[in-house]
Amino acid sequence: MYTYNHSLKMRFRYPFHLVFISLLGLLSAQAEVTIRAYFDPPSIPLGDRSQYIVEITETSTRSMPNHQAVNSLDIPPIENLSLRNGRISTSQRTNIINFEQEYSLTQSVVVEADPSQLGTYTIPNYTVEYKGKAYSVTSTQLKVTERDENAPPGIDELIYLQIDLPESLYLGQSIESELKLFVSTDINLRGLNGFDRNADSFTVSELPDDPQERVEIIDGRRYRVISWPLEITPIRSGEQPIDFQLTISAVIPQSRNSRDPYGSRSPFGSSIFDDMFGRTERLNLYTDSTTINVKPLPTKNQPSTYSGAIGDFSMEVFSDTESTSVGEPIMLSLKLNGKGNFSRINGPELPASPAWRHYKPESTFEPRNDSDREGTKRFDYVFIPMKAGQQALPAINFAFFDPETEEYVELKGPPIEVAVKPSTRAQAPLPSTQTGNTEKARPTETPAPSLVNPEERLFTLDYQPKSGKSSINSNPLKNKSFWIINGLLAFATLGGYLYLRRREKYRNSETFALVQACKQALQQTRKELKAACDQNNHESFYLAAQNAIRLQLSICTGKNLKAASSAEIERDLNALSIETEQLLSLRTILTQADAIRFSGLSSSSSSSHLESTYQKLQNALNKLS
Amino acid sequence: MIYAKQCILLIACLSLLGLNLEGSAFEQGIAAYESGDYSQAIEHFHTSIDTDTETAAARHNLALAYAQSGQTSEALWQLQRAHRLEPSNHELLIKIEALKQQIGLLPESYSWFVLASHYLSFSQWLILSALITWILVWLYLLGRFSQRSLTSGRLTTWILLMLALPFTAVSYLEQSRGQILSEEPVELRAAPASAAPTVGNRLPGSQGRILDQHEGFYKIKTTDQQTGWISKNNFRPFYLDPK
Repeated sequence: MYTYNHSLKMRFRYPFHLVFISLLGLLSAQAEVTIRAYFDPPSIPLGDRSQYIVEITETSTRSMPNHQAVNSLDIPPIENLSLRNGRISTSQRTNIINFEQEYSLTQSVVVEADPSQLGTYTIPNYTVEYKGKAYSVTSTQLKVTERDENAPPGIDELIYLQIDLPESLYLGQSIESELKLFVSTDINLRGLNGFDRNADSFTVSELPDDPQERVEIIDGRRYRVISWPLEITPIRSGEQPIDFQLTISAVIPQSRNSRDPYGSRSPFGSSIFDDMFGRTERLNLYTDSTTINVKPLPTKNQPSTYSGAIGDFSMEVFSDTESTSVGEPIMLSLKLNGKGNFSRINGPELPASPAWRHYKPESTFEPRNDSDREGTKRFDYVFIPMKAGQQALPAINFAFFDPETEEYVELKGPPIEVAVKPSTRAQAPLPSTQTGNTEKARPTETPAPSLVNPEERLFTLDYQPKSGKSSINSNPLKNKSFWIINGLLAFATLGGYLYLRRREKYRNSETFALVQACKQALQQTRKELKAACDQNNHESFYLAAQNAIRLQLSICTGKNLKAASSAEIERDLNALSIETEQLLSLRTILTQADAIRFSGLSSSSSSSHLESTYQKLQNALNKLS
Repeated sequence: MIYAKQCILLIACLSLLGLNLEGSAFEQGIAAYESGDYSQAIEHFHTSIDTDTETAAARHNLALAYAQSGQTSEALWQLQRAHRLEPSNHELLIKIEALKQQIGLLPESYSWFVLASHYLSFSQWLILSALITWILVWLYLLGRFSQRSLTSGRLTTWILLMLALPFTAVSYLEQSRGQILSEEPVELRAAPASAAPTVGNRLPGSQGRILDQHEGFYKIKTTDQQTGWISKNNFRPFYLDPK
């Protein structure tokens, strides 16, 4: 049993123990981080999915640890094991054990694990950074076993997503494919929550609002098949990945819920009704990852008239009349029937001809079977004959690339003969009107027949080379000078505002004016003091010193003490809270000044004494200010 | 002193030569046009624009030369550019409409607001707005510190600012306006790639506003509200990059 004195001795004898124990205590109060990684469940039959879970737990006895989100995990890729759709959840807990509190914060990163083959999958050790420190995540294994014959079907067998895609396509070749969702009739589909795609090198049409639905029996099981037609067009060549994801809500029957391989459990826990009717689960379904070899169109044997059409087409060319007169328009039509990328097909370019003037075609498209890829596209060209006689409309050639035969096909339409009678209308010549001051004689000329409308009277030159206006391109916002000038103006405005405000204050406030005047006078007096000190002129020095004290006091008090008596100055000095030493110095100086001034006594002190007096005065004045 | 005089004379001669050069290329262009050599006329008018200050007359004549050569959409662009250089010339607007009709475009109704914004360039509108703003600030400061009532001055300045700011904004938006230049209908694409599917066709001469650009493509919104990507070779803004 220790006495009080003994315990005191212990305390002072072993100070380092105390420090050490305190440190230990401090360390133990720091947050502790543990990381645990595991598969849930650790063993699954082929066809099922598991979850790879990484739990980062931080505990502390002092307070709840601060949350720092873990945004990514550097999980090593594992062959034949697809890890995707990661999500993070956070939970906090406070335990009280033996009247001591323990706070813990857990972040769980949950990733769906989908193995494609039997075997054991091991995710090796790797590190994760958390709050600036690196922590090791231990390795963990997932066993994938054969599905027992008597075991219930895996979720992948009951509900899955599928799309049939070709192995290769040509660049720009549009195809139609069906995205099919197979849902076993055991499962009650509640809704479609989201559609996503991994198809950066393709353009994909949007998912239609009205899918088609049918029932199919596959391997003895009835499925509800919901399909959406999609139009897919590759826009980059090479091996390009493409896959699709659908997020759905479905009620999984009770027997499927025991393992709960997907999603999160209801926060409200289970109930008897859930057990009776099944639990609504949110499922992410994926098509198999596919790559399509997108080939560039061959350049060999590509016709000069080829302009991007891919598919299989037939062509029909006709005109609406076989006779006309000069200047009267007729229509030449080109009809393309078939299947292909109609949206990218433009009317073939027709060669210029002196006998005809033509305009760019109007196009119309009639789809077949509600598809943009099958139907008839028609181009109507307007032709105006310029010469009388038997004229042939230019032949139309249309080239396309057939992806089935992998060859270019050029369809050639025949030239259509049209009888053109002479015009019944008189043609007006081009006018020779002038603009501007300069009169120039211009020869009359017939206009270029295919280009200038004879009725156009406005193709007259401008003869005035007026001075240019070259500043319309400039953008002052990108010009430094603009900002510099505005900055200077702002600076000047601010300076002007401050100056005017000060002047207003000066005018309106007597005290302010007095203080400003005293400050200016004090500056001048300080110079006189210095000069008197340098010249060892005691009389001038003490006079200036007295003035300086009066001015400084006026500044401090706001009262006009320039002509105040010594008694008033003494009173004001005492009223100010200054150090005794400074007060004494000032009193001495004032007394000496009065003595010199009124009693005619001249000081006989040395220049060094004057210098020290000057220093003391300066210190006192600085303290006062 | 002698050398100074000689220098002044030399500078004067060079200036005259410059003027003559500009007139010469311009005159040569006129001569070539009138003789029917439109390609030569195009070359001369381009020289006139490149070597000296760009003029509305040179752009106008260049437009006519292009029109005669069959490049109607290029001609239309040149006329649009001439109109922006000389907004007060209504003759240009008439010719623009005539050329549009020839191409097959619908006539455009010009709002008075947009036309008025063309009277000054964007930089002029911006400088004017900045100046009016500063005057307003100074009037407020002056009124604050002086005995004078400057209400009428401030009111007038506010009105001027309310007029100048919208024109400045419209002029700023006009900076991104341009025209399709191809001689045949051009496809607008869903993505900035030549293999991307089309979202529409537009006739040459159609106007649009640049929304974005990516590599060799502009994303434009046409006057009939169609949005799509178009190759930079087929679309040119009316306000050229000074570089």
